[in-house]
Amino acid sequence: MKHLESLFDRALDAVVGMDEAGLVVAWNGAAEEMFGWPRADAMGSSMGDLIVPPQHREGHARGLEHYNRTGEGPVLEQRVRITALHRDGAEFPIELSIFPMPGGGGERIFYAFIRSMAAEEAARRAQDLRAREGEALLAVAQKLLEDVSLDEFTQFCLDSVCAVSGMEAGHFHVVRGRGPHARLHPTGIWHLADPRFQPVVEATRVVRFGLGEGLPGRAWQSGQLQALFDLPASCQFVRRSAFEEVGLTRAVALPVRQGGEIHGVLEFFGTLHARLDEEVLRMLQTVGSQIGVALHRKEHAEHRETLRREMSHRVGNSLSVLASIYRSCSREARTKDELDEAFLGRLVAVGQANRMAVEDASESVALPALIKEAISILPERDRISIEAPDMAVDRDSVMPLALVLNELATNALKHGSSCEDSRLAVRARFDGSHENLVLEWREHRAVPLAAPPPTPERVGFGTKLMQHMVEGRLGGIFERCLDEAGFRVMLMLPRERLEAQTELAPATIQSGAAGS
Amino acid sequence: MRILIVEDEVFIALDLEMQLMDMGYEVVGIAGTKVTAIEMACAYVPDLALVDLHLAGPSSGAEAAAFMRAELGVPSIIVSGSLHELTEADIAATAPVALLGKPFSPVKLHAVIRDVDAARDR
Repeated sequence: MKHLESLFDRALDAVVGMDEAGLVVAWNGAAEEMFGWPRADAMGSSMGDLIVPPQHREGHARGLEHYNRTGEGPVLEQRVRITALHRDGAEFPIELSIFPMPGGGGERIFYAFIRSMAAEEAARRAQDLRAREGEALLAVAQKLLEDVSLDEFTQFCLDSVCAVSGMEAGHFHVVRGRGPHARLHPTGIWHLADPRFQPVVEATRVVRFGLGEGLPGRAWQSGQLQALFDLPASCQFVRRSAFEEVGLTRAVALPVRQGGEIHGVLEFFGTLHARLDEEVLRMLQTVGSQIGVALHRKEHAEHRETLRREMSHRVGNSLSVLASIYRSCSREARTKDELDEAFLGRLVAVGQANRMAVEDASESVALPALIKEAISILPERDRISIEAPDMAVDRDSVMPLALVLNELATNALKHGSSCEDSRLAVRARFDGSHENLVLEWREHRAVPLAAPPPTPERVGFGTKLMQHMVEGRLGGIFERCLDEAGFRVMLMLPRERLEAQTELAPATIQSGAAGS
Repeated sequence: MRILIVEDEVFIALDLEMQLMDMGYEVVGIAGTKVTAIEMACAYVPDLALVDLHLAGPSSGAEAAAFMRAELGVPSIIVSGSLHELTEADIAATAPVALLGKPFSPVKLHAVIRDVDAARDR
């Protein structure tokens, strides 16, 4: 036996021996290294317990028993591929051949030459991953050229990454807002390998991550891939209960950047079986960053296209508006001077209202400022009394309201009622219910007329314009009254439509329903 | 012929109203949103609707036109500054009797409306 042992110790393969009872009787240096057990510990132990993975132990025991009973061993003296167990619990692929030899006392000893296939397996897997990575990148690049929407494209990217990496769910968050208000918002676009994962979509829908908050927030802050191998144990992962319930316990978050700035975060989730080793993470990083660039490009292109369409629409529309204003004025005007005055006056008013609505305020205009600006054509403005709550007017309402006020001012100017013998007061306040703004325009004569002025035979264009602006665009009520005491217009405007909605603070993860 | 105007730009709507009245047609109303358009169409059941594709806010002129055609049998002339945005699905749902690209001249409007009116009598 001695010379055999010294021979085995020189072998490059692991050589192990086992008696008929299944106990270790030989264990060379290569076996010590391969399985992590020193010879002293291995000798006399059960071979099955030592290196056979649990799922193969029963087969191992049955084979030995069968051979002992019948002398037949179908796996003997053949090249067998199977997995073995290292002392640290890791299972790795091996190739072995077993041959029985007579021992000293007439009993049999089974020897095995074992070669680890771990390196080959790792290389094969790396190659395979690289091939899949290449395919995914190519598919994404091709998709980018197709005429698909940003949503479709995002979906395709998520599907591709999950297919390549073996992750079960994937989602894309985008950064919205600026500076301290910036948050990651879920896009709602998901790849789900199984419909039973649906609850995680719901859990994610309600959360907004700030910089550094949660897994996506940390990927955003660090600019690096972040991985969590055990979600249920991670208290930083606020959505953990929903994910744990459906068995998604591993997560990777990947920042999406373009030009140094991070625009979003890709998130991928896997089950306990998801392999998140260095190779997979590296591949996710490569594919993810390429997709990030592609996503950003697509987003950019879509934004440009929307802008282009909006511009072409606006230009077409404003030319139509101009033509309409001209025709309306020319229908009413009796002389060329009247036409010039009416047309150019309205033109200026539309321009002014437009500027207020679009340029001066990106979101809203304060009501008192709007009133002052809209009636700025009136002389002796210090004689006009203006009273209005400091309310922010919604962008969509700025234009119609400014036009109505301008029309009233033009009217006052034309009829001279704002001059010496009368006073103009503009008063806006909320009604009793606080649901409506009541705006009153009153031109009060210092000396009342002896008799009520005649009712005009037909409704003028200006009045019609105001009526439609108030009723159609502002959803309110327009009333006018002309009598001995002067001229009075009352606008009742629903506050809900008129008032700018202050942007609600985004629901942070603390208040999110998914927090546990 | 009784006509409903669906247009959120008040200047254009009032001008259209005057033009149609000058041509001798009755304008049953001016609607600036999809909801108002549907309400007015149900109340007055016009013979024709002149519908702008783009309306203020989330309103869609195409949806209003599709409703009027399907529920009330009211045909529409679709008006838009961006007719290229009209999808095939929109055209199928609204089945417009004519398309008018903005800006259009009164002469063009005249011709289109007269055609529709003539086809109606047949």
